[in-house]
Amino acid sequence: MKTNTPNFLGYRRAAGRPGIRNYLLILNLTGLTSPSAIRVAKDLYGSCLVSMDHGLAISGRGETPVNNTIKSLARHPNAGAVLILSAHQHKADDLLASMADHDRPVRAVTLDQAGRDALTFRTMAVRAGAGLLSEMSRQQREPMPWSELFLALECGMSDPSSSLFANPIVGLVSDRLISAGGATVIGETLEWLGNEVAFSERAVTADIGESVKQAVARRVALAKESGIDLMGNNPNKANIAAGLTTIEDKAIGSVVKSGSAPVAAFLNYGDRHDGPGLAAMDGPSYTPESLTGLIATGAQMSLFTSGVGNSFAGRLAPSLKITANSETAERIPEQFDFCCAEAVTHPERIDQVAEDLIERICEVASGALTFGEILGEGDEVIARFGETL
Amino acid sequence: MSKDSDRRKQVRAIQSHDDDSVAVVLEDVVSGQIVLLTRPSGTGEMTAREDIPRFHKIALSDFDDGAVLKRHAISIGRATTSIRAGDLVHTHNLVSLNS
Repeated sequence: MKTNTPNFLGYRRAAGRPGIRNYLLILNLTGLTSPSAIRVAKDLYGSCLVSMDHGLAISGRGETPVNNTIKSLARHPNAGAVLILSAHQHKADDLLASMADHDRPVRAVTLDQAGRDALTFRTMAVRAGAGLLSEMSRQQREPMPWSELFLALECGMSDPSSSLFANPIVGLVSDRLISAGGATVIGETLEWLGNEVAFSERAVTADIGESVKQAVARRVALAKESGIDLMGNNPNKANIAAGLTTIEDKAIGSVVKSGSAPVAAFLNYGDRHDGPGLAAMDGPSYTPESLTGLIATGAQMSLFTSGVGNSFAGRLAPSLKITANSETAERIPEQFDFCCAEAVTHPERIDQVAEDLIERICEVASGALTFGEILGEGDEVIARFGETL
Repeated sequence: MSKDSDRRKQVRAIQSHDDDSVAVVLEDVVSGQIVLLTRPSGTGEMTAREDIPRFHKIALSDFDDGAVLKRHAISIGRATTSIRAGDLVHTHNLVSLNS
């Protein structure tokens, strides 16, 4: 039954936002246990594996954001319980200590505990996970207002239908959710390049505005170190042939996903966003790492637009795939969860299309499966920050 | 003859904000064709002064050389010559504010 306030059925958690899924999160901390972690996840129906394959290889400037990401993922609302896997006891202990407020059931199984034997390790892990799943799966969904949602906003393999239609519709939905008291987050820092001044002027404090501009400048400098001149050939020949004239003009297509709400928070990769409002997260444009960073902020779902098609999805948080390109939607019927091509032929219907998307969001939040989940296209990839020694 | 029939067809353009300087055309436009604008406050109409390729920008009013043009309420560049309403706006008459 449709009511005036959009609502969904979610899993109430002891602290923080509700989940829209109820997974056993298997958080594997070391590359050494990665092959075992994959087998353990296969043996546990209802589990979701997030694997930090680089484990102990991370050092230097990567340590803080990677460790923060792991801690943030461990608290994700879609996890009803957490099974920590690690080659080394001390890594598991560090994470357990950060979860000491016991807001959810958590157990750790390590190779150290298993006498360095992978077979014993896997059996211990499956037993621990099975116990957690039996208990946590007893929880039922309850009705909640959609203001308890926190949506990540992502685009990939864009075309003019994305920048002119799909992304603005996402921006409209973002504005409405924030007006209702909810939250959204946008990343892909280099997509802000060209609009960073306008974007920073939407910040609620001067510090947040400064952080937005510095995040862009830092990545432009990083690119330059690698020999990439982002200010030079930008827009490039293909962009210009497609109608994009200046770097400011080009940036609009992506930033428009964030709607017109004030920027209420600035996040580094790995930080959480527990409050309401729009957050800007400094993150890569590379989709797998971008989505994982956005999901680590605590977003329960991502709205993921594409023009020509992009099969990748989040795993711990599902991606609701959106396109405004009717040819793409017809060519790949099992990829898109929402097609807004109607807004292209009937732009006057844009408000209704946004309402339809909100309804679809609430369906997915209530348990309707996205194609990414059905087809197993989801993964979580924590960003890398430098070469292994 | 085909140019005349092209001109009689209606083509559409999107104007994101009511204060924008340009709209983006959704199909190829030929000079003299009427462009139907969809904007937040409703619809409007204008005549293209030249050919405008699909997804390129059409000027919504006259601008002096050096004027700052906006799209989606964001400054997208500076005019490098005077621009008339209905002109194509692209690399030949608009540069980044960074340049």
